[in-house]
Amino acid sequence: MRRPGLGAERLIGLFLIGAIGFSPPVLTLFNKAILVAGIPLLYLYLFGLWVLLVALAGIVVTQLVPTGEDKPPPPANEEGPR
Amino acid sequence: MAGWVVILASLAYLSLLFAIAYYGDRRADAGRSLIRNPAFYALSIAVYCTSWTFYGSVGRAAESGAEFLPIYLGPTLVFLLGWFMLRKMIRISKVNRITSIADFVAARYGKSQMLAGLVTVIAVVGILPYISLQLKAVSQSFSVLLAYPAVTQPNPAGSTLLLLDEALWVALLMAIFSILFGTRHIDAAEHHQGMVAAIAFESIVKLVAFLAVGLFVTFGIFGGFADLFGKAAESPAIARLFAISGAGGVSSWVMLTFLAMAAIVCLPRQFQVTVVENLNERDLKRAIWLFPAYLIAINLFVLPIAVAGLLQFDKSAVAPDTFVLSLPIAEQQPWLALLVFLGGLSAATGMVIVETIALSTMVCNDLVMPVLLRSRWFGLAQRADLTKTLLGIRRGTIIVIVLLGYLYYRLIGETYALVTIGLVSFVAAAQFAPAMVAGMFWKGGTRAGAFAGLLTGFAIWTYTLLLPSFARSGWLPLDFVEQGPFGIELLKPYALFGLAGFDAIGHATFWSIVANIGVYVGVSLLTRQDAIERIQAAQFVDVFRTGAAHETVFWRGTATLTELRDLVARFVGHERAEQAFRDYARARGINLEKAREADADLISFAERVLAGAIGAASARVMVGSVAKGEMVGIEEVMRILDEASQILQYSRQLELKSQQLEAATRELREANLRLQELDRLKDDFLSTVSHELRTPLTSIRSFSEILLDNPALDKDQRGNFIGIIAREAERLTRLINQLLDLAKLEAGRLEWQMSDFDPGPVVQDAVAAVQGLIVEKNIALESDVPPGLPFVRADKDRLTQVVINLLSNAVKFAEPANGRIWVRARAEGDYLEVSVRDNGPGIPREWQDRIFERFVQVKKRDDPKPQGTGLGLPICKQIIEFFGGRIWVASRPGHGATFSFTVPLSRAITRKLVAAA
Repeated sequence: MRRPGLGAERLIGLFLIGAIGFSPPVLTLFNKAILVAGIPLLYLYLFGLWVLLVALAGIVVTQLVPTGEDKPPPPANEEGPR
Repeated sequence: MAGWVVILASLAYLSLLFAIAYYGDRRADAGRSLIRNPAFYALSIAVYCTSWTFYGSVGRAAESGAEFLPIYLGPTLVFLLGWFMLRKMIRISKVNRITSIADFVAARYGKSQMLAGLVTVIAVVGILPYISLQLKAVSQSFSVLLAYPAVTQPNPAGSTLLLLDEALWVALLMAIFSILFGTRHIDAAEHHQGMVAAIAFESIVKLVAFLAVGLFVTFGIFGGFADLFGKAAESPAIARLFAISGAGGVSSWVMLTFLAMAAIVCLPRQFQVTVVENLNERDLKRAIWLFPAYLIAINLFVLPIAVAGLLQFDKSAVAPDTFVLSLPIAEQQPWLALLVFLGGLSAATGMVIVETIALSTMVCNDLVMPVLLRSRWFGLAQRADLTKTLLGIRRGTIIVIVLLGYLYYRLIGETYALVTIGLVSFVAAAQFAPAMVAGMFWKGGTRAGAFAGLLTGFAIWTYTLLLPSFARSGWLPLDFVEQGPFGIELLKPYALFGLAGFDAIGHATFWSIVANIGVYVGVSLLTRQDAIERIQAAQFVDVFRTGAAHETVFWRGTATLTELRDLVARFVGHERAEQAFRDYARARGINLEKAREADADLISFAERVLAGAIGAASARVMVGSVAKGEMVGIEEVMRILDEASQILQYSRQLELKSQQLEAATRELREANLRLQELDRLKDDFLSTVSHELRTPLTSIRSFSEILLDNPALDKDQRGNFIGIIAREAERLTRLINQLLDLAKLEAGRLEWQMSDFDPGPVVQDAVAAVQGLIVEKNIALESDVPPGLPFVRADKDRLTQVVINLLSNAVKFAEPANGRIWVRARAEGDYLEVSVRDNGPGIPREWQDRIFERFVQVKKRDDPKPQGTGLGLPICKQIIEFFGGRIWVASRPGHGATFSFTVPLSRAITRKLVAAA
């Protein structure tokens, strides 16, 4: 049984990876005007990390379970009067 | 390319959108939503990618390389936090029926009309450049496409006659589309499902168009990525784009990421599609990865197109902002060029439609309505139906906003590149971020703090970005930008207080956001919240804990039902109002026809319905005009809450105490009854015991006295008397022994030696023990004990005692002349069953139940003298029950009696123990 809220916390973890990975200090490591496999290194890194983050997010969202307090409001309140 | 072809294609495309939106609305009305698939939600959020993305990103990339990317990395990061933050925003908005970003901020800070108005003004002024950007992009691309097959520069804005300016016609067309699908109903809390479907479709079109041109450029003109970048690397001017250069590049990277993070939440149109149009919170799950995936896809070919454009064209001859279109034109690809044009048109119309709908709701609810409602001369308070007025205001607002955007385009548009214009809007929208985000997680933010923070941030934005842009376009003297106002260097708009090292956007972002947050937090810490602010703050921050069920009802007064119903009907229409009240009555199970006064709960309900139409702040004012009495003050709220909770606690304690008391009384009464019963039993027992003891004692005493008094008794008689004394003494001993046994049994002090053994020999031993008696009385005994019975768990000696007891009883009662006894042992299920049957007189039915009680003896009719002690069977019963078995008798008077008992088998006990473990 997975701990409720774990999915959401993993997403926050991905956010932190992204926030650090896209920050200038890390970027300077790849900030060189050279081509790797015919593609500029910086772009290779940026798009690679980007794709990785989104793919992981796609896996993690399947683990998101609304816990008790997270139950959405009843439909009556969503729709409103017609 | 002929103008009519382009115009015809554009009109056909817009008609298609129109059809999709119309179909979407029809399906929504029929209750079969077209956009139920979460992918629609994610695609509609992609309205974030406007013509800025479509044309501008390439322009930006051609100027400064990777710097176009933070605008899309920021939203990716925010969506990774989506489940944590956006979901809270969506929940808050659903619970409070929030319809716009102004509504959201105002509702958080005590439903303040002033705050809602300020947010609206900032949004409108701030977004105008963004709308003008779209118009500029469309008209640019139009004129570029018209020149096909020549590759030309677009005409400068404002160079053509007003009526011949295609941007004006584009603007008006977009306004009409917005009006048709954004302002059908008046209850804005309802979703514009048709519009969302059309926007999602546009997102697909612009992506397909951009990918098509990207693939064509990379693989059609060049031989793939490696070929393209390899050629670019030969030119140092282009190769520099492969890396971010200089400290300015790094600092603006951070600023742009931050701006984009704020924008994806704070732009009115993003708030509209992400929060207001959200049908289901679960859709967010898909959007968390699908929207960023869309962003990746649409950015993949930005750099290749930019590099290709720089390789193919002379930069001074062709503006980088038009590379996307110019490349297919230069390669003589008319259809691809037309597709690109339609993709750009998609991006622009999507943005303008959603943006103007969101802004018109805000302007109507938070600027126009409050003013109209206050002005007596307008007589609005008396007019019956206001739904038409509301719709009219919104439609007018849409046209005005689009025309203002056009005006900005004519005045300023030519001075800046697409992205720079858009970023000006981003900085303005980012001003909402502190008040919104902090408002969701920090209860301490006050209305005064939010107001002051927003005002400060907006003022700095105006001074450092808006006014200089006017100056640079020649509408204000340029002196104050270059030398500072009145020559004061420290106040130069692009280097405020001497801050250097940033570009204009980064500089403005830094100062406005720092000041905004500082003032917001500072003023919040120095001011106090009133009652409604505190209530709303708690409701926002704790939305997942309180939910929809916990409605804060803090209207003290009452209103008549008719007044309330009329009020709602005037804003949302008669039919909808009736429906809302009927639903309310049905949900609560009350009959509104009979009620005349509306209670506080109903007033709150009416306020929420109104909020969906005219915003939280205006709704509160309107309901306040009908409800007599006023909002409860802060002290009162706190006192009511305190008192209520205290009383509740007291009564809960009282209830608990009285329950405990009742339980104790009941237990005492039961204990008392038990004691009385025991007392009676003890008395009975004592009298019986003394009687039973006295009988043998009496006979012993009398015979020994006879012997003592008559020493001359003959030998036979003496022997006879002594025999009686011995027998009675023996009986007395047995009686006392059994009494002791029974006492020990009942007190549980007997020592048991439990073991597993074969019950067969035990029964045989018992039979052997009574063999003497049987032979003496000439009784025939049939023993049916098969060999190899399963083992039982019991005390061997006690079990023998039980069998002997039953056998001796049978011997006693068996027919004297032709006595027969049957002994039988069998394993039955989990038990061994042993039965002893005789052919005696049997036991009458009324005695069968009592036979196992102490001192109960069945007397033979012809023999008044008791034959036993009356304790044998009770002892048997105690022993057998201790083993976990059962003992009983079956008998038909005249046909003998059968005593049976059961003892559990060893294997059954072991199994149970294993199962329990």
